[in-house]
Amino acid sequence: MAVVIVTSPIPRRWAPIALPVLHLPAGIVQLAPFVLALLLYPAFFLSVTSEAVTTGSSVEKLRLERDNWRHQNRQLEFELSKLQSLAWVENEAVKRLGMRPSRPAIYMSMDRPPPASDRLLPRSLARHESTQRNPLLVTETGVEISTVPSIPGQRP
Amino acid sequence: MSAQLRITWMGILFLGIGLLIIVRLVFFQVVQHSELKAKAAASHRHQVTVPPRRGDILDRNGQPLAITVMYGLVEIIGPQVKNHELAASQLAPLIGMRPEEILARIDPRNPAPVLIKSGLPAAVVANIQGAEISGVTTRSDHSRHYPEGSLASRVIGLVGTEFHGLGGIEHYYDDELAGIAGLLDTELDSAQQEIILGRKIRVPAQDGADIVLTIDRYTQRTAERLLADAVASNKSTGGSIIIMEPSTGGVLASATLPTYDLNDERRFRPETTALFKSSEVADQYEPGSVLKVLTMAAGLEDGVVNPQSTVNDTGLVTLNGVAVRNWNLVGNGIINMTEVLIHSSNIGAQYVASRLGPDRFYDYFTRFGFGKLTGVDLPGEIPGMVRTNRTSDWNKLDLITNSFGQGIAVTSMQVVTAMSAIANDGLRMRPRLVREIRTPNGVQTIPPEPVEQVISPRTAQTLRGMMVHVLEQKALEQWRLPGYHAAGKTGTADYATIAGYKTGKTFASVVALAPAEAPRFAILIRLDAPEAIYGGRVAVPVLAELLPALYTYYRVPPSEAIPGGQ
Repeated sequence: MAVVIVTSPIPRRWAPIALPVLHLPAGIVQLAPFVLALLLYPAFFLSVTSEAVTTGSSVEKLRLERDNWRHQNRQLEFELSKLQSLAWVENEAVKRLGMRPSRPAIYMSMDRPPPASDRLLPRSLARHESTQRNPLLVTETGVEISTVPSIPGQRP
Repeated sequence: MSAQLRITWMGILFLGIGLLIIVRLVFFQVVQHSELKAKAAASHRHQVTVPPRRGDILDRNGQPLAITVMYGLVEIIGPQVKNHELAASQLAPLIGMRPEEILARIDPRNPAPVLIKSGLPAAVVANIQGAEISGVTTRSDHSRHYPEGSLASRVIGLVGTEFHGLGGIEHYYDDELAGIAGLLDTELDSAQQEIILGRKIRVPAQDGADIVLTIDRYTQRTAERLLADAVASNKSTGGSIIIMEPSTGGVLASATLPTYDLNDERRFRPETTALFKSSEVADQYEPGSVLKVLTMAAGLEDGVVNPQSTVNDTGLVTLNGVAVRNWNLVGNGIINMTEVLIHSSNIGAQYVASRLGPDRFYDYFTRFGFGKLTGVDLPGEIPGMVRTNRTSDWNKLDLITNSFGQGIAVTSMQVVTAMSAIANDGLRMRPRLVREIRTPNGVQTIPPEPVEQVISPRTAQTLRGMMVHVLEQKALEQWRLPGYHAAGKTGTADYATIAGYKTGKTFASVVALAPAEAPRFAILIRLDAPEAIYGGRVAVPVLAELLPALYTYYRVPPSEAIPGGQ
């Protein structure tokens, strides 16, 4: 015959551990935070000081860098203004590009003999005759530049 | 001696020593407190002046004429260099020198920094700093540069080695340009190294203001080029061209010869110091016949003559036995007032002055600005010399000679200012060279400043019409610019010396108001001691070249169709 024993769970009880109790004088207990703070202060001071020194050094470097950039900017501004100066532009124009100082052009009105007959010319060319009375531009070198386009087959 | 007594004496001794120490401490810490504190502070205090950037001088369009640039310089402190050869070899490629050159300058016994190279761009300085070579230091140094070369050098002026203006605008506006120096106040340790956690006071420098001139660089360059050509071709000793904007009194160009080169490092020579003054306001001369215009202005305004009034020009007047003649020693017969100007008749001018009388004549001359400062912003201005009937050394002959510009000394600026008044419908403006001062706090605009309505607009217009005939007379026809009218007057005055006028040298000049209908330019062209002595022969051709350039640049349209033009 089988016997079933039903057991109810036995509640586990935790026995409190008895910690040793330090019976320090009340004055020392009150001083402890101050002592701790005093011990931590040098470390904290060193840390803050170190941070300040590092930051200060970085700021100085940045300030120096900023000044250098400013100086470089001024130097570039000066170079730019030199390249924009009238003396430089004129020198380049004359020496490198072979230009000459401008002189007033002389405009002369010159009448040309009228064409023999428009009928002798193709219609497309005849319209140029109306511009034949344009002046010649005489440059300072004495070269005549006609403002009339030359027409093939016609004597200029 | 009993033990008790010995103890007492010992007590007294210690008490005495203690008192002595206390007294000494009180002496140090109370009596000498301030002195010792200052000494202690001075021993580790380190102050560095931070120089401000000197302001730029710009033309009216903002193009720089004088600019301050900071360039770096590298120095070596000999005792701080650990390895001479290494330092030299590291530094040499960075600054483009040979290591031997650098080695020769390293002196291990000299604690003072030795300059190795200056004028270094900022990028090179940054490279040197990055290399961290022992004993090598860099710092920045200001230098003044002139991008347009010696353009307007006598107006701009120059700065000395201490970076203060010695002439021209640099001197007149030195306070504005210089700025305010900053200060870096720190503490050093016994090794002369900065104490990082020590006191550090940084007062930043305030940069100088930028000065914007009324001068236009193109106009200035054109004037300088034409003046140089004219001086050379006429074998003159010098000359000047001043172009003024009559409505504002702004000087568009002021060219003077001889001059000096601002970029010349040897400019501080005894023979060049006379050139440092602003000739336009500091040198006086007899203007000659150009002043007939002002005599005529006074006569017209006062109503003693009108353009049609006539005078019998016999070529000679005599006063107290002194004969006054025309410049060509001949009479012009009966001529009207316009012809007085055309023929530059001395007899006609003295006639007008005589009709006015000395009181009114000198009143007008004073109101035109002669005999007093114009107030232009240039240093060393002089008022000129005008004897009036209120001064003791005046006599009636002065009235006659003054009427045609002799016996009177004026500055070029006074002449062009007076002519500007005629161009500006009789309103005289204070001449000015600066239109803006740009400070870090904002822009200060200098407005045009009217001084006095000298003559009425109607008189001014009438006079300009008469002056047009002067420049369009037959003798000057070849210099006339088609399509435009300019009003003007030529002048030829002898050099006045202590020995008299017989020097054979003249000031040949022309004044012009252009275009005559609504003048935008008042111009004075003067050549000193030209070979061909007359203003009409040497100064008018310069005007004929100058006017087209001005009309083109300032886009002044012709007032009438150009004959044969398109």
